[in-house]
Amino acid sequence: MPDALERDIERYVTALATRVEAGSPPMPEGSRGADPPRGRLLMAAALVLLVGAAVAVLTWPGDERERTPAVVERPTTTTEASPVPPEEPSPWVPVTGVDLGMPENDPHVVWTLMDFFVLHAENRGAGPVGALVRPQTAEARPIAAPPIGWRDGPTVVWTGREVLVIGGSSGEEVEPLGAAYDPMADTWREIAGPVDVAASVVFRDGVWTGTEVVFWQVGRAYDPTADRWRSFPAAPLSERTGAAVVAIGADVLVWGGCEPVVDCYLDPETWLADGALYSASSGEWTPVEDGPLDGAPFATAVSDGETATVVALHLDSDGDGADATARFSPTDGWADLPDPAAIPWFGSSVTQVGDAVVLAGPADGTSQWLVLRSGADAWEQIPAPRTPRRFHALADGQGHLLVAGGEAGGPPEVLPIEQAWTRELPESLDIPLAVQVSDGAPYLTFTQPDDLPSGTAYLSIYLDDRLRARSSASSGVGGSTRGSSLPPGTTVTVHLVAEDVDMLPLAQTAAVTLEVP
Amino acid sequence: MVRSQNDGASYDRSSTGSVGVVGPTTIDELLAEIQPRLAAAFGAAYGVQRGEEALAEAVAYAWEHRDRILAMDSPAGYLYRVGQSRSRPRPSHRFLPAPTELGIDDIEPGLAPALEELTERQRTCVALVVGLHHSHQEAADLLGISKSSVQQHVERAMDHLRERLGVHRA
Repeated sequence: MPDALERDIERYVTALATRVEAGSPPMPEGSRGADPPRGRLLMAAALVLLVGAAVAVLTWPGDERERTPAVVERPTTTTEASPVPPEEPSPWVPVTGVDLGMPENDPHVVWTLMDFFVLHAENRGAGPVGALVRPQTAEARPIAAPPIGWRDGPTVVWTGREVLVIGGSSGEEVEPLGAAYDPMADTWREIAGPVDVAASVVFRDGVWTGTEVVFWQVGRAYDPTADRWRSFPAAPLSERTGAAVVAIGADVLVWGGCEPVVDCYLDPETWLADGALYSASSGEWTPVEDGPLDGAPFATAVSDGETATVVALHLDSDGDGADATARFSPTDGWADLPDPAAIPWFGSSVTQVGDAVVLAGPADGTSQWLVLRSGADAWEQIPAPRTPRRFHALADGQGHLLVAGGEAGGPPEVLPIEQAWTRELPESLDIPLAVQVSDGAPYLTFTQPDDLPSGTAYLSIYLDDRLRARSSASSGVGGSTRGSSLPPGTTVTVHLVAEDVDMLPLAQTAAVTLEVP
Repeated sequence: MVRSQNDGASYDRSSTGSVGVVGPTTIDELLAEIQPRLAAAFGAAYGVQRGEEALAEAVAYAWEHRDRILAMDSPAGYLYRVGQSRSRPRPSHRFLPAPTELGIDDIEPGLAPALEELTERQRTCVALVVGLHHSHQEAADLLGISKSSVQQHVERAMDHLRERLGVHRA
């Protein structure tokens, strides 16, 4: 016996379906002959013309015999869009200067102050090889050889001063445990492991929390400033592989993965849908349960500093329709997000670009690159690199994406984010400027406001659209152009930009014109 | 042999999902059978505007490739993907029409917003199973997911709707 709610749903859905059917014009009689219904096709094309176009290459997973036709739609500024326009050259630019084209699963890319740091730590059993890549020119330059042997799965993070490469496995003990690279000096220093942990223990899945690298499975954290390890309580989680591990500010979220049994990805019974949150302030773990995501063999996550976007990566398709994407907040809990197309996303990579999330893959070779913008109700397709990738590394820095490595190899590639999707930079900052004079030299100063956008790491001053100074927002003080001369008696146009840790602009002030005394 | 519960016995499927002998023989017959299901699924998933577009794309594709479609094990599911992939997402937080916009003025006015709070998959499963009384297997065939997943989505969705609308089981 249906209840009132079920009756309401029945009536509503029936009326909705009737409306949808009524609005979908019937097939004209003349098109029902032996030939394909040209009129109907034109109607479909006209619909696409009307709605504009978005990039989409979607295939139906599973049975190869009945693969859904690939549907390609690309952004266009003309009114001549067609359902399947010709392929356009990829806007991604291959990196030159250092040979980084060797195949490698899960290499590493992090953004440093001016360059991407690329590391092939495994390098087919040879010594690790790295390079610095300047995004504006797509040119790489070699770096000093790391003082560590090859390894699989080290943790690689940027601290703001050094790139730390810690842990991983080479089938035997890795000694030293890690090394730190200073890009300004092009030098390395070795990092010894904690003395109270056996050398046979593998350090994996570490995350940078702003002051230390936290290895949740081992229960140890490394502070690079003090060059010191500390211990903390073990997570209240069962042993697992393939979990998403991400720092949300100074806290650490661990979610999902599967039980550490051989080929766990084949057995849904081993897939885990629980997690835990480590609070840096209390030093304690809190269970994270009752999320909207179902278990998946692999999971990954990125953070904007206040929340984490967790993506469940399935092997064969969409995990039988399980929810694949959700956002977790330490204060507000879970919120469901739109799911990407139902295809195998394992081997894909995810990166946070401002308030957007980029999902890049997938494993079935169709090379679908998607972005989920803040507040959007669907993932949008963005241009894919020239070389199809899976098990690759992806990062963003100073308005560029860089992809490196992957199962099939190929040189790293760089893409200006403005060619991937449109980002509107709000003029929402209000930061008064003051002109000071010291020893006869005028300069500008500002006081950092309290209402900076979430994730702001830097404040940059532009004079006549040229970057003149960048200050760290972590100090909370402000900044100045002192040391950078302002010609007395001239006028300059000034604006400030709030940037995230990858130097992606988040917001800016309106430009003001000042007279230099 | 597994017989569908609510499809008028138009065709049967073996336990492996292969097509039985009593299937539709023309694209007209097939579309007459599955179009309401597709319309409900697209409408629930995307609302009227994109739902219309998705249905038009699916029907157009069915006509263009009718020989292939008629030979498929799960033509409804295949055409559902066609409509999904060929229709354009629309950035809107409100996409389901109010009941009064559909000519109904005596049902729970909060139903449409509550349905919008569900995931796309939950909403579609509810539309097919609760709204159109299709079997879990039929919904699973259309959406390309397992029967147990459909059941799970429906249960979660109905729990959410009951909580959201303050409705308790009879």
